[in-house]
Amino acid sequence: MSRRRASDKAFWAGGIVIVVIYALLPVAWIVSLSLKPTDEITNGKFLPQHPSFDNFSDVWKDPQFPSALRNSLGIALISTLLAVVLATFAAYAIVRLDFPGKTLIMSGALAIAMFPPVAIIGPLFNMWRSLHLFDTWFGLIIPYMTFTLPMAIWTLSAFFREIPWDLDKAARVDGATPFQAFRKVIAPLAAPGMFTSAILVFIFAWNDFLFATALTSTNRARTVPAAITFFTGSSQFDFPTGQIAAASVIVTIPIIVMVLLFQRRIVAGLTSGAVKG
Amino acid sequence: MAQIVLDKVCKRFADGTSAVHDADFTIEDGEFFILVGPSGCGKSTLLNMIVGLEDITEGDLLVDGDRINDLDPKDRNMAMVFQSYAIYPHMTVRENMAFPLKIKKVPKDEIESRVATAAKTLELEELLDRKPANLSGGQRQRVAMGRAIVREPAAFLMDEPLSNLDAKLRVQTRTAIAKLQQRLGTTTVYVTHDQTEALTLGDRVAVMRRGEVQQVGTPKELYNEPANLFVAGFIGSPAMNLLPAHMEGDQLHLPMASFAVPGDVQKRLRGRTSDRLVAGIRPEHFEDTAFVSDEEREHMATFTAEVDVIEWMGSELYAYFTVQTEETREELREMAEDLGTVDFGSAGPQVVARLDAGSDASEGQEIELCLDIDRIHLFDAETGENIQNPTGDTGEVRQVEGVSPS
Repeated sequence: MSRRRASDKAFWAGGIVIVVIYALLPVAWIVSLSLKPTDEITNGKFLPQHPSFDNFSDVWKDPQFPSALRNSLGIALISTLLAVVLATFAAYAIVRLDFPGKTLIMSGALAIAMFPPVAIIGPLFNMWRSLHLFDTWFGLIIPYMTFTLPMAIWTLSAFFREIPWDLDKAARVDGATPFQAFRKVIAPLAAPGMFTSAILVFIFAWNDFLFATALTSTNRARTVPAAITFFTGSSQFDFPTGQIAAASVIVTIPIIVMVLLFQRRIVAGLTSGAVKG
Repeated sequence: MAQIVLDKVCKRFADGTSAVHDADFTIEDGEFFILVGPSGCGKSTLLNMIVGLEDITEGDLLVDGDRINDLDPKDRNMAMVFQSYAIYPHMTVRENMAFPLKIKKVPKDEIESRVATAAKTLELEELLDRKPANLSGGQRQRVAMGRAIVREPAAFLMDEPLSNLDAKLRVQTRTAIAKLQQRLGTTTVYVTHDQTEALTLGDRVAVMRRGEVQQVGTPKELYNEPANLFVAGFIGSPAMNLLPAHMEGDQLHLPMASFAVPGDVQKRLRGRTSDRLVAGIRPEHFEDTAFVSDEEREHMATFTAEVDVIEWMGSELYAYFTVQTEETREELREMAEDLGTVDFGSAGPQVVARLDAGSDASEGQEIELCLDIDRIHLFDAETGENIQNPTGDTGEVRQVEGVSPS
């Protein structure tokens, strides 16, 4: 019995180590690249011989990077906020109210989530130009919201379904208006779900490259993933690998911070939403 | 404090099913009123209509004379205790109890003092800063009660508040609720499927079946003068024995015995077209012949029965036996389905008799029993109406056309 347990432990420990290495190796590689001076980039060694922060300071000196960072933060945060707020209302209505077309909305949302975004890039580009949304924050916020809403609605409706309906009723009888009942009783209970969807939406918007390259043209709205591709080396034959690596490290930091901050809530959220207790 | 009047209240759902039909009664100010019936009888729907969580399709709901059909639940000033308790999991006990007052924007110090008073009443003082997850079932139930009483509402509505407690706690809490209601004197409407709770708690009880109110009355009235077969079968534990019966001349034929019935009963029965009767006999109206004096025996019919099962309770004894009969009453089977009482594996109707604890009845043995003729209820099998009520006033029995009462 105990031998079996020991071998079980070894199996899982080994598995975890493999997964962690698999996941973190590229990150470590990027960090290492970002610390290498230009002449060391292609030396094939894992650790930089003379680590320096030149790449980072170069990135900050590049005029487009700070504005790209600002765009990224703004666009991702606004998309997250809008998507979560809209999805919360939508999911609550879908779970609590009985209206025709309920299942149609849910399956429609799923269909949108499965739709290949690249297929709408062309039409969107033309539409956005005539609507003057091209190269604006909202030009990106709208598609981000659209593509993340389905996932947010599905996640949140799973959460709302877990919240006993009696709680709404109790709040109503206790003197709350429908909105008060939602805000003071239901929303706090669905908070893990809202955090989970918020993180997922934020990551989607933050990491997106497709819409960001196609729908922007200047520093007005270009986000970091797109801006990185516009980095130029010191000469025309010099590819700015180090700077790209440094920029990648910088943009990863907000995500790591956010995930660490909300980690416990996300874990609680993901499991409690998925498994009916 | 409130008087609640239901004036022909109906509820039909969007799909056409009728959940409550013509509920028509008055709940007096300060009364402990019970809605009782088997599951799916519409009692909870009726309660939800009173509190405003369900719309009223037809009819009027009046509180102290004002029609409140369209009043939002938040403006009805009624407090509800849910079967699931529905206490807010993210708030402490204190916050839970203060919630309705906070919504009403009651001053802070008043909230504090009212919560403290309620907590004292319900012995929740030491739990005030705990979250519901760390409370036992009984404690949660008390928090739900506390949230209701801090509001000093016009009425308490309780939807099976005891059904999630274990048996012992249920009995204790039942007594506590009765005491609390007496002390507060607040009109209370209480929903339950348990007839024991209904009889022990209620000032008056409304028995419901399939969305219709069968009878409204005090527990005593319901027990002694059931208006129809359903109430007779539902109220009382063990339940009233219901057996097929018919009249022949002046003789009433039961499966186990036949005997002459008094003249006025005969007169009443003769007007019926149907010969199909159901006799209702409470278990306590049987007795072991050995314990009956000769004088008493004059009002009794004697018969022998083979006992199937004995339940000895210390102070009394229940003997179960099966009677043989050719007659069947489809209505009884239908009712048993409603009540969820399935009688399996017996050849005929099963009868339970409550005997003196000293009776030497034993399983598998024949025993001589007698039953009190004067205490038999007779029901019309088709309408279910009680046409011979031994202790109370049967009222005018509807005569059927074409048959002259002689």
